[in-house]
Amino acid sequence: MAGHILRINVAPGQHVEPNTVVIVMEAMKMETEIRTRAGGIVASIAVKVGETVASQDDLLVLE
Amino acid sequence: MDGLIQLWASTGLSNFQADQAVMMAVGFGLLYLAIKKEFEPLLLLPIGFGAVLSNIPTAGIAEEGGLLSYLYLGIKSGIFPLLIFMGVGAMTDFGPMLANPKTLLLGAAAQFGIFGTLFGALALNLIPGMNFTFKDAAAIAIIGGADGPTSIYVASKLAPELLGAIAVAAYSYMALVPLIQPPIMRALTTEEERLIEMAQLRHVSRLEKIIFPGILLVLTAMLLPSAAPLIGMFCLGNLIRECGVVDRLSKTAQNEMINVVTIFLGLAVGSKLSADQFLRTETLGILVLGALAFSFGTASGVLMAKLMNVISPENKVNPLIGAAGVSAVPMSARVANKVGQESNPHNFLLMHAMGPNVAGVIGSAVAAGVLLALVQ
Repeated sequence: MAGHILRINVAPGQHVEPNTVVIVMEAMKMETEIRTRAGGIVASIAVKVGETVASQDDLLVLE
Repeated sequence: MDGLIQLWASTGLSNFQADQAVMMAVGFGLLYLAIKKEFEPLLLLPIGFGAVLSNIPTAGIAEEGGLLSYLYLGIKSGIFPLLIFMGVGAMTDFGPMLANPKTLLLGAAAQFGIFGTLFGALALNLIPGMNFTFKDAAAIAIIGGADGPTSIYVASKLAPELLGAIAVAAYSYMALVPLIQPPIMRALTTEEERLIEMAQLRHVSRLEKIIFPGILLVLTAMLLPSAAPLIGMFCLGNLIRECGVVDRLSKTAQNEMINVVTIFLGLAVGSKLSADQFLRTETLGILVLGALAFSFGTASGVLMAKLMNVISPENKVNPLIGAAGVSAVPMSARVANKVGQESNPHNFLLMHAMGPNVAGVIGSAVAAGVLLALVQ
């Protein structure tokens, strides 16, 4: 889904549980929470706050 | 002493009639809803203020020759709602619908609410105190399309004396979409259906987006000329948006122009909120029918999506997006997304719901054209 990044709640190296809100993005004037499907360690974050993303873009990589 | 009496006779207090006071209270009530509750504030604020202004005794702001009576010419002639439609066209991205064209069916299905309400309005004639002609019924029914400018356009053509009540009902229900729709959506779907995830939408090329308004216009011209003013202005706005060479016009149509017209439109609608036209039993009927029309439209959109899943089970749609077929852009799409995420937080239905949502805009314009063609 296209939109822009509002908040990033995690940092690389952080351990996250399944179903954690990692990124909040805004599209159509509505906040959308991106949650993890599985737990793991955040390897890298591909986006910055305020950045505009298109659908299919990678947001962050979990290990 | 005579001078004093004369002065007293010219004050608002001595000329106040009870019904004007009631209508001013209605106007202030709308202002309260707009400011405090943020119910469609962009429209209810000017409408409420217009209602207050036009009920000031002896000032005659809404009477022949008064400021608001001139602004009302913009509605009477159809110019304001059509300019708004052009702005809406400039704000609408048909990408999600073009990527998944079968969502057009959902946008069409949700218009059943309009035709259901048409019969509802005619049936209300059985209740004493209600008296709706076929034209009135058609103008009320279009509330079910959940599209403000379309409702105002049709009402100004078919039932100008009901315009105030119809506009207030249409915009109030649009503000209530997040309350009206979810219970209906939940009642008509199973948990399993709400969990359906849909495939990512394909990319839609610029060429497709440029050609689409042209095709839409040609189809309208051939099949339903009575919808041509609405669809024509809509297509113009959309072409300005998508062609990519007139960014300045696109920005103006999406912002300044539509904002200016919105102020005038709201004030002019407010001027129709006079006691003799609003404080009638018919207004209650309009409010009830409007709610029915909305609910009916939501239900038929959801049911259509379920039917589509029965017919083509290999490529399922989440029936929640059917509810976005009542236009109310983009509120009803947000509602579909939100209800979907209650069941599955990983499911992003927003862009999928925008398909039926924008299809619903075309759908209500087409329904308006059908009603106008039926009546005239």
